[in-house]
Amino acid sequence: MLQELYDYVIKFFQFSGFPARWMCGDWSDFHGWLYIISNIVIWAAYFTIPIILLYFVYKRKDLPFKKLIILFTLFILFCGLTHLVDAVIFWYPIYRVNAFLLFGTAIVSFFTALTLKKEMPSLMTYKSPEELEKIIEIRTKELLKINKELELSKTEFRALVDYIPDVIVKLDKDIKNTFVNKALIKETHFDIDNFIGKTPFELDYRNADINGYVNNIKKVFETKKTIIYDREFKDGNVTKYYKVSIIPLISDEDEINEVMVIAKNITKEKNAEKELKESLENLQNISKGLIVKNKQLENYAYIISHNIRSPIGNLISLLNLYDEEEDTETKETIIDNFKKCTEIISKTIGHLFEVVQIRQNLESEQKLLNFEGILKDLMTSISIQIFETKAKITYDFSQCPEIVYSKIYLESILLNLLTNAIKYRSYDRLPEIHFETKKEDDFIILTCQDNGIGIDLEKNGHKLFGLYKTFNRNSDAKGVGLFLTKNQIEALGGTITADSEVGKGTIFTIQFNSF
Amino acid sequence: MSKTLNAVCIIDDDEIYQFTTKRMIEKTQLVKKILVFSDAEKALEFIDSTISNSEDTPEIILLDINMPIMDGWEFLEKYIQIQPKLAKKIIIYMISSSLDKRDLAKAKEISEITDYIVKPVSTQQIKEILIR
Repeated sequence: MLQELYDYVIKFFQFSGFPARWMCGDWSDFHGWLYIISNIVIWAAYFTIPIILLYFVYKRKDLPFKKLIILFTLFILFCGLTHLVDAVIFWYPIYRVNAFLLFGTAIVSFFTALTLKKEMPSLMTYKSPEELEKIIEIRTKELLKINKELELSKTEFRALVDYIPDVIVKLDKDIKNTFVNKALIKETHFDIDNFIGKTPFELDYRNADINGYVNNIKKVFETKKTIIYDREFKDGNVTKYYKVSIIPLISDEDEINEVMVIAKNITKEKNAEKELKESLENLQNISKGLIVKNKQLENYAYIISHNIRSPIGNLISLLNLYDEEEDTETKETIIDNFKKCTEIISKTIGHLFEVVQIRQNLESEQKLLNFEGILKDLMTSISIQIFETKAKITYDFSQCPEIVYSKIYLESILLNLLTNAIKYRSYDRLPEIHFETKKEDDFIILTCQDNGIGIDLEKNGHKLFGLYKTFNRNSDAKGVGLFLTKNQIEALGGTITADSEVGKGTIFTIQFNSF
Repeated sequence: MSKTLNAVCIIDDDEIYQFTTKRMIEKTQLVKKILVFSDAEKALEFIDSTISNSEDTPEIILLDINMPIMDGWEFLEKYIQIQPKLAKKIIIYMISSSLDKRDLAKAKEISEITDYIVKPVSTQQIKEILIR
């Protein structure tokens, strides 16, 4: 066996032992050439086909079963070669080469068949063009359907976004507008083209904190978290307020390429809030005022009822006495006293009326008044008193010569101060009375200073402005003047205070709400 | 025969009330002297002066609350201070036209006040006070 193998290899390319086929057998020309030509043609075909296939594979790189096709190519090439050698043997009996070639062909064919069998399942699933066409059709139909749904979704979104009165805007990472809704166009009266592709800096945003806006947008891109804040726009002399929400649009892969900004106009709410606050403050002030007024009314009620009940009590006692009295003279005295009582009652009711009048006269006409003019008139009206007491009256209204006030009230106030100063003068010296006005913040301050007997404020301070509260034996002291003055001042929102030193004098300070 | 009182003191700034009350007391004929003061301070001065002369000290005082310069409460404050020096205790009636519960409550707290009477005072009430 081994010797034969050795022999085979040594003599591989030799003809020894074999005749050319022409010599081997009864080959007629026809028969011989039929055989030779057929084999040559077969070889040609078996050569051309693989070339075409290889070219095909080379050109169409996407071809499936490339491996299989290349195997087939090899298989066909080998087969072809065997046919070529079969023809060549007619002249050159290379039988050993032939055997080896056949062996090679066998291996390749066998391998090819095996591979084919292996690929068979795969080959079975391969779709024909008609089948593929059908599949494409179905897929196309599905896509069209999905597309329609998407379009519908988009239309709905668009309708929603345009119907909402809130401004909706989308911006990309370069802080450029990629989408704006109708509300923005309505609010700014610009076209869409004005906005798309522009940054907030390029657009005409009136007096809006653009830096703050852009910084917030950048923050949302960084942190991927929504930011909500309030923003102010000044449109002429109107201020508009918006609640701005900057929302990150995050994809499935947790990436952010756009943000959506929704701006809700909250001007009405903000203004309502302001008004509510103001109303509340007003109500609180009114409430405070009412509490004070209520207290005052309680006081009046107490004081006045007492001052009416007393004389009435006296009337009753007098009547009882009259019934039992026999002496005519005493009877007459009783009737006199009766008259006095009724006078007192009448006066008290008069005072009550005055107090009520002050409250009612709040809407009385207020006009621009001149302090000097009014004081001079008053001094004329009490000129006799001034002359008799040799009172020296001075004034300095230069810092604030005028006031918008009720004439009746101002006259009453000044007269009361003046007459009090004269009434409570010191007998040790000539009375000197000085009036002065000045302005402090929003208030007009009027002071009346005298060098009279003064008031012990520690002892009598609380009685000073009270009704019927007297503390001076001066028979003129009725306890009504300052009470009414205080009421007149307070009715128009002012205050009056007194400062005094016994034996030196008094200074009254009035604070008017200035106009 | 009821005991006659030496002196009764009326402290009230209301002249007409002074007149009617004085007249009512006079008619009872139970009091020798009727002292009338419009000024509580003057009344105090008088009472003070009777320390040495205890006969002149009034047995009863009819005291008003609402008076100028010194009112009834202020009078009582000062009176309580000089009271220990007096030979006898004075019976004090607080008489006022005030119906205010606060005044009534305040009067109740002061032991020196025997009673609180609301004006107008009737002849009957005067008699009852004096007969005591």
